[in-house]
Amino acid sequence: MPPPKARRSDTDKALIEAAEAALDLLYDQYFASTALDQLLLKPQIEQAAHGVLKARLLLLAPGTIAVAADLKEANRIKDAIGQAATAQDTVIAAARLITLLARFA
Amino acid sequence: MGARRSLRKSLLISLAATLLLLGGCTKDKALALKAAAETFRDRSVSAIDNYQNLMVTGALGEAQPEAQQFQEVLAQLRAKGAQGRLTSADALAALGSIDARERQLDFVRGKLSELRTAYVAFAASLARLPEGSFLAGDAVACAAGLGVRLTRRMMDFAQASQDKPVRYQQRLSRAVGDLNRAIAAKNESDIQRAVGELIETRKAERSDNAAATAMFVGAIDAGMRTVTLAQSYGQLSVEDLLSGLNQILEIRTATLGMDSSKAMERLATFRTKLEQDPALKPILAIPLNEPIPACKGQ
Repeated sequence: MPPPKARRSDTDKALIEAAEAALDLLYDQYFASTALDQLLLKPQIEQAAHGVLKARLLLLAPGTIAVAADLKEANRIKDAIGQAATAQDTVIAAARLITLLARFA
Repeated sequence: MGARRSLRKSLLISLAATLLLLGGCTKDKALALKAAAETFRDRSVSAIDNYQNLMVTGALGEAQPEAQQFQEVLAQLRAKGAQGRLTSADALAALGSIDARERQLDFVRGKLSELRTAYVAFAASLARLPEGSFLAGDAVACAAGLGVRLTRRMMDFAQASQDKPVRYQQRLSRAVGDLNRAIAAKNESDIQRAVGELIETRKAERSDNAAATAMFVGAIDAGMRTVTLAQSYGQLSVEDLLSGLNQILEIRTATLGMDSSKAMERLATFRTKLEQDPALKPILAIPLNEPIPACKGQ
C-alpha cells in the first residue's frame, strides 16, 4: 500500500498562484477605481476571493486539484483581467475566474 | 488466636495497599495518556483555527473599522445615486463588503468542522480511560490508530502552509492604491505612509505564516508523542507516561518563535519517523472517518 503523497503537485501550486495573481489584479483595479466602478466590482471580487479560498482548502488535503489545462485557463484569465480596459471588461474576466475555481469544489 | 488474627489483618492491609497501589498506577497512567490526548486536541484545534483566520485575512483583509466601512459604502451609493434612482441590488452590492469576511470565515470553518470534530473525538475516546474498563486496552489501541492519522493531517497542513504561504493580498493592494494616489497628488507624507504600510504588510505576512507553521509543528509533536505513549501504554510505567506528558507540555515553549527552516526540519523528521514505522505506515492510508480494522464495532 503506497503511503499518501508527501508533496503537492507543481500544477496545483501554480494554479493557486495564478488564481491569486488574478485576484491581486482585481484588487488593484478595485482600489484604483472610482466609487461607481468599485460598486460594480465588489460582488465579483468577493466571489473570486471565495474561489481562491476554496482552492487553498483543497491544498490542505491529499489529492490533486488541477491539470495543465486548468492552469493554462487560469493564466489566460489573469491576462484578461490585466488587459481589461473598463470595469465591465474586468467583471466579465472575473466571472471566468469564478467559473474556473468553482470546478474545484 | 490473636496472633493469627493480627497476621491475617496485616496480610489484608498489605494486599489492599498493593491493590490500591496498582489501581492508582493504572489510573495515573490513564490520566497521563488522557492529558496527552487533550493537549494534542487543543494544539491541533488552535492551529486549525489560527490558519483559517490567516487564509481569510489573506484573501479578504482584516475587518475594516466601522467608520471606514461607512465612508466606503457612502461614497459608492452616492456615486451610483447620482446616476439615477438606487435599487435594493445597489444597496446589497455596497453592503456586501461589510460582512464578507465573516461569511467567508463561516464557509472555511464549515469546511474544516469535520476535521476539528475528529480531534475532539480522539481526546473523547480516552476521556473515560481513568475510570477503568475491561476494554481500556482496546480503546488505547484504537485511539493510537486514529491519532496517527490525525497527526498526519497536521503534517499535510504544515506542508501546505510552508509550500504556499498565505499572502495578504487585499491589504497589499489597498496600500498600492494609496501609494498611487499619493504619488499622483505628490503628497510626500502619504507616500511615506503607504510605503511603510507595504513594508508592514510583508513583515506581518512572514511572521504570521511562520507562527502558523510553528503551531502545526507543535501539534504534530504533541500528536507523535501521544501516539508513542498510546502504542506502548501497556509496557510503560507511570513515570514513563508522566515524563512523556511533561515533554508534550513543554512543546509550546519550544515551538513558539521557531523559525521556518527549523520548523520544516522538525516536520521532515516527524514525517520520516511516521512513514517509516512499519506498524504505523499501513494505518496512514485508512481514511480518517474509517476505523482501523481491529477497531471496527468499537
